[in-house]
Amino acid sequence: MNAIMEATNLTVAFPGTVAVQGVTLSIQAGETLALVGESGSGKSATALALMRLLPASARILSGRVRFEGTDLMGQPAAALRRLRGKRISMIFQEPMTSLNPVMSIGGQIAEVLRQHESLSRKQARDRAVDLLALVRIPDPARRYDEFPHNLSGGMRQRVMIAMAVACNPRLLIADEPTTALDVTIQAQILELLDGLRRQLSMAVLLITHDLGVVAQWADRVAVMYAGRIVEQTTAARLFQGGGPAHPYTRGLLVSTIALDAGKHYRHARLHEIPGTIADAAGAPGCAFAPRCPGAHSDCLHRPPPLEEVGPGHLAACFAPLSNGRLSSSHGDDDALALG
Amino acid sequence: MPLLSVESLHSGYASGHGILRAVDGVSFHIDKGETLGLVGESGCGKSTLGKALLRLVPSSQGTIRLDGTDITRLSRRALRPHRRRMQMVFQDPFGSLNPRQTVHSLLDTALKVHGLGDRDERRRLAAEIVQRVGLPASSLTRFPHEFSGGQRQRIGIARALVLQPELIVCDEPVSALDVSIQAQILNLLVDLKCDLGLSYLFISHDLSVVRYFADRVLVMYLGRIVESADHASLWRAPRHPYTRALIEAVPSTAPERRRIAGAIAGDLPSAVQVPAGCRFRSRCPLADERCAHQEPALRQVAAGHAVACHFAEPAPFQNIEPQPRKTL
Repeated sequence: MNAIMEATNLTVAFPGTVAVQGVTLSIQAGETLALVGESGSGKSATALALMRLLPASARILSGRVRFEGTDLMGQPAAALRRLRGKRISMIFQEPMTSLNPVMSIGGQIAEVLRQHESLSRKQARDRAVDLLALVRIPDPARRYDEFPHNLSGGMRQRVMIAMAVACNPRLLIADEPTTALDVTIQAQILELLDGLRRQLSMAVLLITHDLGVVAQWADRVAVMYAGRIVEQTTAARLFQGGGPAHPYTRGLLVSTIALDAGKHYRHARLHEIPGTIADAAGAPGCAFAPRCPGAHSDCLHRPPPLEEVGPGHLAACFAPLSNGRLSSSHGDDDALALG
Repeated sequence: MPLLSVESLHSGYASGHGILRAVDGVSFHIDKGETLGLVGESGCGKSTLGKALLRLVPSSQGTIRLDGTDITRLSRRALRPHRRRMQMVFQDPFGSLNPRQTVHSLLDTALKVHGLGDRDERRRLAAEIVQRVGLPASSLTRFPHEFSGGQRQRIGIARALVLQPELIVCDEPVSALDVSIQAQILNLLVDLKCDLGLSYLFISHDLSVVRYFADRVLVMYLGRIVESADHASLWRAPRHPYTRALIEAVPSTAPERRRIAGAIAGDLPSAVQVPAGCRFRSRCPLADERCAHQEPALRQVAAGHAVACHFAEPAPFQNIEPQPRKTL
């Protein structure tokens, strides 16, 4: 396996808050890595930092990002612009705000192509029509001249994907690409992305809060909480094998309501994670400690380092779980019921 | 007698291209103490239906009866005592709370509008309800922006609850919340229902949440109800191809259900130019000639189970006892 992107000890600050704290992450060629977390966990700030697309108010305090062997931190703006949209591209949650409302959808795709490759207008138009067909927009030659407001949310996201893959990128960062879409459309879009990943052999960094999406479409998963990666493992190990090692990941899994588990309020109460993500703001220890059923005195003094707990499985916890259960000392013995 | 009954309700909006028929002939009822789930994709009309019940948007045809009283065409003044009995909780608690009112003032206003209690009584009721929804007493003097998303939703619930309603319409109450907070709010809604004997209309696009929370479920597509069943039979034996497609498309964390097979193609058609025949036929794997001409009626196919599909009996996919095919 060779990493196409590696971030080392990345720390990003916004005025008054540190959004990302010492994140180390690598993405292998051709894989789908899911970055999971709740709002405020720093997952989007991490993605923007990888692209060097952070707003002006944010500062990268430390860390390195290497993409295909180049250090992105030292690159001038012009070099980054040549890279973005060509070698790395990104799609966002709300396609309507990412598309230009006064330019035809085909024209927007052609613009990306002509920005990065020397093509004539005619060649760019033909390629754009091919790309619309690639993302399965029906009747692409006619649709080329339509405007974003003519399209449904799912179709707009397809246009965004066509723009993102236009130059055969090695890495596509997808930030909550289906959160604004209905479940039937979500399945269409994620299947499309996964098909394109194989067809074009690109890697996908999939940012999501939905563990079902992770289980269905990711190879590996990194879980973020309050700016740090707290657990990193393969999707197979998390959902089928040993289960989670970090109590936060476990809390997420058991408080997710699974459709096929068939729980009903008359028979079963939902598992809650007490408190909120803000509970440990500014505290020196583990950020999850105030909400953790297994927290002890060590957890309050320093944050636990991200360490190997099994082959290819990292967790940042002083008392990692084995087999997805809390050890008896945690005083909470309900077993993890998946699915 | 059901708490709420709705008969062939229509509600629409004028759009540039004609009338958008958001709710296009819907009938159902809600019993006392029941939680009725309403699921469907965005644009199917489920939020408009919820608002039409409370007369927050006008209905063009049909009747809404609350406890036997027809409230569809009551004047504002005559409606007020009935409105107190039906309250609403919205998806975005921040957008639905006045940012310049303290929590106490929000609750006090609701009570004053309905002429409930004197000053001291209102103060007592507000303090009681804040505690009931799991907020500290100090919340009363604070403003909405000082709270997290989950706490704001508790304020939204408190405002609905302070009037002691019998029915609460919850429109996507947990959709904007993180998973760990969703569970907190759903548990609160269950507790309130059990303690106070509330009825809910629970509107959501999230099937997992509806499966957990609803006693009976309506599935809505393009302004119409396409399937209606109690929770056990809907999830075990869905009969409408749209319901099946919705269930199939939910990604599962269960290891044996890796990969979603056969996601339905296409998008919801326009509610301005409603297709002739069955409204789902453009996306339906079963559609044939008949579906193009004849709109299937919502009809009973088993006890407490109604479906609007020409192929609802015998059930095309599930192992349900064969039934004689009705002639239509």
